[in-house]
Amino acid sequence: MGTININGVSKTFGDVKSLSFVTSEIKQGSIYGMIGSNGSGKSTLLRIMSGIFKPDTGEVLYSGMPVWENNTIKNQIVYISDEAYFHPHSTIEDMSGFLSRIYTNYDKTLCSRLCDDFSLDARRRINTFSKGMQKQASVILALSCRPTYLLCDETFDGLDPVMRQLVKGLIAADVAERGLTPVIASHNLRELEDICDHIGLLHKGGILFERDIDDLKLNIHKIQAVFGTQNSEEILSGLSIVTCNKRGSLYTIVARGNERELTKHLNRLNPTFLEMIPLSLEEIFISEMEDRGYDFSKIVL
Amino acid sequence: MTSQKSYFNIKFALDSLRRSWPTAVLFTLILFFSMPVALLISVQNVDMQYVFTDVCIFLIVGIARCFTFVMAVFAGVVCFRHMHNRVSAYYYHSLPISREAHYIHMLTTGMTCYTAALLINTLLSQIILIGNYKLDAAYSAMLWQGSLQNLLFFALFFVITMLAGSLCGTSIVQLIIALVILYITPLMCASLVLLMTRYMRYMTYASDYFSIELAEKLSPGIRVITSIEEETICLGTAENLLYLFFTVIIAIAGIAIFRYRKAERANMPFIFPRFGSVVKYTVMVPITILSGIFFGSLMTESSFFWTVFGYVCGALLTFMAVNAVTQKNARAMFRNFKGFLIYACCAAAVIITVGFDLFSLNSFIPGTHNLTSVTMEANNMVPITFTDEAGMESLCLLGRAVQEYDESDTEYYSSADTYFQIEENSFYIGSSRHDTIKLTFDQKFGPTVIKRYSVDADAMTAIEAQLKAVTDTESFADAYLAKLHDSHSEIRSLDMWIEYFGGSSYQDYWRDLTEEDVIRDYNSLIDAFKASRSSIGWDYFQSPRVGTVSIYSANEEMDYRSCRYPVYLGDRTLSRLVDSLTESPRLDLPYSELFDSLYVINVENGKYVKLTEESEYAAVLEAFAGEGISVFTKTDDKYRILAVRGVNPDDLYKRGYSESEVTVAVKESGTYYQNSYQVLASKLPAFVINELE
Repeated sequence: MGTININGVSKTFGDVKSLSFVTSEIKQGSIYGMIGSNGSGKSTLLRIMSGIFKPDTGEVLYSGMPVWENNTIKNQIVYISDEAYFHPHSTIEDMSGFLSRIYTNYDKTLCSRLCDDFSLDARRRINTFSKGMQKQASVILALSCRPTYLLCDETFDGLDPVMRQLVKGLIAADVAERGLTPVIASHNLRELEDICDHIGLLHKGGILFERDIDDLKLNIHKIQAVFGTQNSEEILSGLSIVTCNKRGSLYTIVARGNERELTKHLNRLNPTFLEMIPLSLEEIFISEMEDRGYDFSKIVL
Repeated sequence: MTSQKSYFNIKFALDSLRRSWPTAVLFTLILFFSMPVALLISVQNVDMQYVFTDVCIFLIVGIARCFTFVMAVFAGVVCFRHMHNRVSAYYYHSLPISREAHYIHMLTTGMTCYTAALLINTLLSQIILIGNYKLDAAYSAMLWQGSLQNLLFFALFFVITMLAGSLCGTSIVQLIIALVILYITPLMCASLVLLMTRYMRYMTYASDYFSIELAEKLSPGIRVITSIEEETICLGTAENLLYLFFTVIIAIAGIAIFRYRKAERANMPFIFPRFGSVVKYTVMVPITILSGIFFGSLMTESSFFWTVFGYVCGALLTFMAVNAVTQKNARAMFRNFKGFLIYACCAAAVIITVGFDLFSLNSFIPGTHNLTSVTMEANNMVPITFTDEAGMESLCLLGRAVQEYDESDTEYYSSADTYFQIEENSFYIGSSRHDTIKLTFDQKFGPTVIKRYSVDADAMTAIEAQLKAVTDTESFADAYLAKLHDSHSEIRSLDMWIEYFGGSSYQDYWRDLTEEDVIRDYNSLIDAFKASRSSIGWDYFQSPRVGTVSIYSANEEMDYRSCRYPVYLGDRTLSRLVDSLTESPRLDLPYSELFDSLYVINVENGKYVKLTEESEYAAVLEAFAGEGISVFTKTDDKYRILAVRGVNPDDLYKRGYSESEVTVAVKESGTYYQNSYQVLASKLPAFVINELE
């Protein structure tokens, strides 16, 4: 049990450079969200992390051991592909039997229980399932392997909101109970917001930005305030402003810094109205990216 | 910490096998109908047990072997198909199973499907055998040996298909690569030999350099076919060990390649992009050559234009087809056309090099120091092999003498500066009488060099000194008799007959003869040869031939020897045998007593002359004086002719030949005989030529 170290990983497909010297560290027990637009390299990185692709340079280490052709490590990893694969004409029961012969920790009882939870018929052929049901089946089978590391590629795509929450709940429970380390790739930040505690943003094959979500939220704030006679320069001086909009006399400010210090600073100007508004993860990202000179809307849809 | 690597996971292997049951069932059904069912049907039709068993066992083993290749390729493609689909390939590679183990599982799945099917059906066949003819160990052994042999063939073809699967990302390309691996070597070899023999004047027989024996050595895909054709239940131990060795090596190579196979290339034609170019151009080479030769030979006379047309079409069509198939896109036919142009330039360079013999391969005769033996085969002569330096040198000189004569034969070759002009001239070779001298040079280092010289009468005269030098050597006489076993005492089996030019006398010879008589004759032959050993030489071969004695013998060591010796007019070595052939023409009779009538026909315009007078006989036969009236063959009334081809000396001269082939038919005591001669056209009597023109 330990961290995942991604050390200088690069991967090229023909003339297309998919990943360029990506380095990251994912701590044990954290839920890592990997966000990026289509073609940013999320799936490639997950496939390298699961030992499907061999990187051109660098390596991925789990507790210090390389994943490539390492059955011991791969036995602790389950990769849920964006396109689910099942043996032709198989049922969940068949696949469960197959995986139980491959993964040493596989829990058939858990599989049956999860099937009940998801209301899936374990004896029905999977190819007769809807796309969403197939996604559920792949999640059930993956979680039944009792992995230490779960690599999910666009897993929530195609799931209805109820199932999405159910899956998130299951993952969160495994994190809490067993110290599961999920890595969830998605192009939709809103999907990751309520589950991930760590976020990495991939863009054009590199990690642009990587942060703990709590740190992000603690260090940036949105303030709405109405001031008296002070001019804007006077109001904003001394603040680390990310954005500032003024509509009439109402200021909407996004600024970095401790919440208490920001409030203290603004209260000195005797505002007639002052309110701290929580930022969504998307807004934080937009702010952070714009701060770095990127147009977030062009990076993440 | 080190990684834990397992090369086999029994649970996973069993699971793969469970999912492959349709393949196993299909194989079982195929073998069921080709083995036990076929055996059961054939049992109904056979009365004689000892005949039945051999034939029927081979029948079922042979039928099963016919399907071996198809089943192996099918199994290879089926076992590998999940690796050619990107989604499933990613899935399997994400599992905690090493690539090596995965490949081994695929191998064991395919092999188990076939082995199980084969085992079941061999057992059923065995039960049928026991049911009909009780248990016979020898026949049971044949059955099981045949099945084991089929299993080995299957294993070899299967690992080749699996190797092909490792190299590519789609099933269709896997199939193509498997076929290429299996058949490209003999195909490439055959096409290069064809190219060479088409352009090389002294290397015109492709069979000298490429034979089915060579092809089957180069490809187990051909060996399996020939083994069925030859009704071979089981190949030799050495051959089987070699195949087993290659099966293991190819399986290991497949594992090694699969280890480095990039999962992301699944569903792409080739896993290693450059390998695709290798396959494409490798396939293009033989097809380019064969299409050129095909189009070039469509015309009665070889055509330069159509030959080049064939080369270009063959190369271009193969290039387009391979591109379209491998890229799975018809629009990709002209992709990398620059590569095609480079290939075309290289191909043109090779064809020009061979066509104009820029490396003097055609005239190359190895030096004596690099030779282990030289064999000479000439028309109607026992092959003579020299291993001594003097003998080998004499044959090298003979070869060079023919080549020097050809170079000086300006009438024929003066205007034939290029291959293509020679090709046009050589069209006439078949219509004129030439002897062939074949020299085979076995080199210490390097391949065997074989030269065939087409020698006309003038050339024969020109190289007479060199021929005499060859035939008058001690080693020649030794080599001439070397084909015979020394003494009848060591002969275990013997078959011998004379084919006299009055027709085959096999039955005549054996009529009323006991084995002792034959051995006595053989003894007499050996003694006669030994006695005349000192006379074997140039002069010995100058008298007209009257027949051929064929001898097949084997000694206690099962050393089989087969040889045919010419019998010469006046040669009394075979007098005992000659005298026994009562119905043959009496060669010592004067010609006038042989002929009732004689015709001379110009086959080009149909005119003929019937000769009825003794004087006319004499005049015509004088033309053949010294040429040897020797080869008589039984024929019927309508061939009572002496046919003269191309009696117009001018025509003959233009074609570079100074003699013509004539056919004489004669009647003796109601039986007609026919003969072919070479005769100088200018020697024919004027009244004959006048009548025929």
